[in-house]
Amino acid sequence: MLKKIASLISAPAAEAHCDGPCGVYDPASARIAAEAVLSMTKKILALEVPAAGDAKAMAAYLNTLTRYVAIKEEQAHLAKSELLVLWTDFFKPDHLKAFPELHDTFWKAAKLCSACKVEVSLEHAQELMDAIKTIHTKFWSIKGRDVAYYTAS
Amino acid sequence: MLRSLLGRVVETTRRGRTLVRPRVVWGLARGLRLYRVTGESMLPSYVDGELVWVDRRAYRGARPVAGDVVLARHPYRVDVLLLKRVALVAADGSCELRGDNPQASTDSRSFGRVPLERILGRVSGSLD
Repeated sequence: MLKKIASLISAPAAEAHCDGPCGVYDPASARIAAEAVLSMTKKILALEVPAAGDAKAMAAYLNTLTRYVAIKEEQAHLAKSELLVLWTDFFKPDHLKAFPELHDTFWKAAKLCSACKVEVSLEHAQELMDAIKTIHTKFWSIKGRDVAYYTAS
Repeated sequence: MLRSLLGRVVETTRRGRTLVRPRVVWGLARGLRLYRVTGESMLPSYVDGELVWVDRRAYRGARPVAGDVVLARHPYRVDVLLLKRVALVAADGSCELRGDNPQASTDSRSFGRVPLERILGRVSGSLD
């Protein structure tokens, strides 16, 4: 009897959920990663090759170059992941009305992340930043908030 | 959690006896069942933690109507019950479900229409 009453008043959970950590999305995370990619690309291009025969300077050069490349790889991949999360989780089919070029923008931005990994291209790193700025503007206009775009560096 | 839930369902009389609140008995006697809302996708209509009455017999002889808040079985997750509002009822009775708070809702926009047999009942109100 008590068990029966307990089960009647146990009130099982009815989920009024969202699958993600509700509503916490911001293109800023992709922008920070893309900025690191741009910065590493600039640093790699500016690095001076030491004179031949200077083993110590060569070791330092290779070490620095390797670090820059590793960070560029990692941050380009991170930028891509952050973009994919926004694309597939935040944006819903109804957002296509406000942002008809949504799929093309994200597809190209994700491809730019790959290009930045493979190449040492200032042009592609800058295009990635521009794509993220476009996404930032659309994202916040869909959320109905006026959030100014900025970069950390 | 359990204690706060219990606090809404039972009360203590002046003589110190613990009884199920009359309005709970009344609801149960009418065939309604209590469910606890979790999450924020039904804001501002239903808040996280709220207890609601569900009429599980509501759709035995009738179909859901757009605007109804329903308890539904998730279309492909086992043992997950959903609380959402019906946005549209298709000709075959399947329902397009939406959260009242679309920014924080996973609903038919991602999992598609929910078949009629997975719509378990209609929310008839909150337990005050």
